[in-house]
Amino acid sequence: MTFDELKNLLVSLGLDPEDVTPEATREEAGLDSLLLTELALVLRKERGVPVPEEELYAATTVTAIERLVAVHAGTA
Amino acid sequence: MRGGPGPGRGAAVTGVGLFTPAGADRATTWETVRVGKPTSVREERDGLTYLACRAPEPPGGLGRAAVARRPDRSAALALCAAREALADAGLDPGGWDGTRVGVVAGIGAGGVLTYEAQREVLRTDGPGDMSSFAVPGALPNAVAAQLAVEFGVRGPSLAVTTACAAGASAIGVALDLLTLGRCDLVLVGGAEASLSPFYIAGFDRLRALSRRFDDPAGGLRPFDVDRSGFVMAEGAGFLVLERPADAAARGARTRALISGYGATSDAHHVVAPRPDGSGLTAAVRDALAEAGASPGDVDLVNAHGTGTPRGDAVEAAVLAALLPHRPPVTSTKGVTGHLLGAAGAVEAALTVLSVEEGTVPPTANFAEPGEGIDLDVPTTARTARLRLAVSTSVGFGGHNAALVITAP
Repeated sequence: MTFDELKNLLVSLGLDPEDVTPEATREEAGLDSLLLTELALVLRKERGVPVPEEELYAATTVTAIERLVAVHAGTA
Repeated sequence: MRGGPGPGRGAAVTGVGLFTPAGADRATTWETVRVGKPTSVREERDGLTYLACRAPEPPGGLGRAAVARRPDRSAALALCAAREALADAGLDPGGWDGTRVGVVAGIGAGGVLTYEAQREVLRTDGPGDMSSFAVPGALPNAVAAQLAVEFGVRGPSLAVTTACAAGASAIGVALDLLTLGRCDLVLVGGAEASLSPFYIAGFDRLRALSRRFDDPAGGLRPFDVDRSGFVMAEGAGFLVLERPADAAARGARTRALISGYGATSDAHHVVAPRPDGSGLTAAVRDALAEAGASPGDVDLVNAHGTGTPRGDAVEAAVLAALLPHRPPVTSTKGVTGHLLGAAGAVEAALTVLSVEEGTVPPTANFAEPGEGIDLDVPTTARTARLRLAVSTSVGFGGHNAALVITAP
């Protein structure tokens, strides 16, 4: 999943496109714990990428989330 | 027995917002109501055939709070109407001191679309697949809470739930908050989005719904001889209320005044109205007394008028006996459908616009009065000087609410 694909997914969850940059922290992007749980659900059910919720909670930036998704998608 | 209103009581309506089947904003809704164009359509979904009045799709990007990004439909509709009401009142929630602001939301079924969808996920896919927004979306306080989060409301935020009287009850509670000085400004209204299989099938089992499938637009027929039930609707209406002196001090335009409120219970039956209508009569009398007015002062009634055989008959008898001078009695539900928990708020808003403009809105689908119904029901819009109007609301379980709305 490219950064842009991840960004589109986050925007579909309701995040503001302007807030979703590679350097943004989770808070700056607007990803609170509810949205993070929702992200894990959508990644697993709709994209077939089972990223454990605990690992997502530990990621501090959008880039770190992107890397996690790549690892669990087998593309990193 | 209540005391009279006394000086400084009552509330100024300084903002009105509507998001209903009749339109995605106040002006469009009002125009559809004024011309008397029904919005009911026939739908077939989930193995059910039914009539419904659908609200337009709310836009995305409704708010910055996490839940507001993925709200239940009831909260999405509420956010749209509330935002318009605040703008209409000339208020910028980004710049206000929210500590003296309250929010009161009338709620019928609550976040049932979220509940039913997530209940299905739980059953078919298991608990780990449920959305994290399931509970905050489904809780009955969701609308009030999300409006408070979105608009920085730091005073009281309350959900008021009295079935189909909830929107009117909410305005009564808001009036009390202002009168008691618990806050200085209240965003108050109602929201409903319960066109779900559970509620459609459940209301149908109560034989409450119109089954006029061959004539969807004519489905809800207030006070008409051929009335056979209501049509469920979804939507929201919100008002901004302030004490009149506060509204004047900040130079706000006052569209109308909420001058009186009456609330009673039938103590009779889980769904049927008390046959003698004494509870509704008392609510209207109390509301008029609080406004310092008499029944003879009533220039217009926006009736509950859901088009059920028994409910309309009882209400018509109450109004005919109480108001022998025969003011026009209209039911805007012929256009909007029955907005359930939002009905009282939307109808209060429409009554505010009626008084402000001097327009009696028509009752769509009223052609011939039902047996025993002796009211002046307008079939086309009329121009009239309207100094005082009453809006009545009744809820399953015997909740009666009446609001007196007057010209400023």
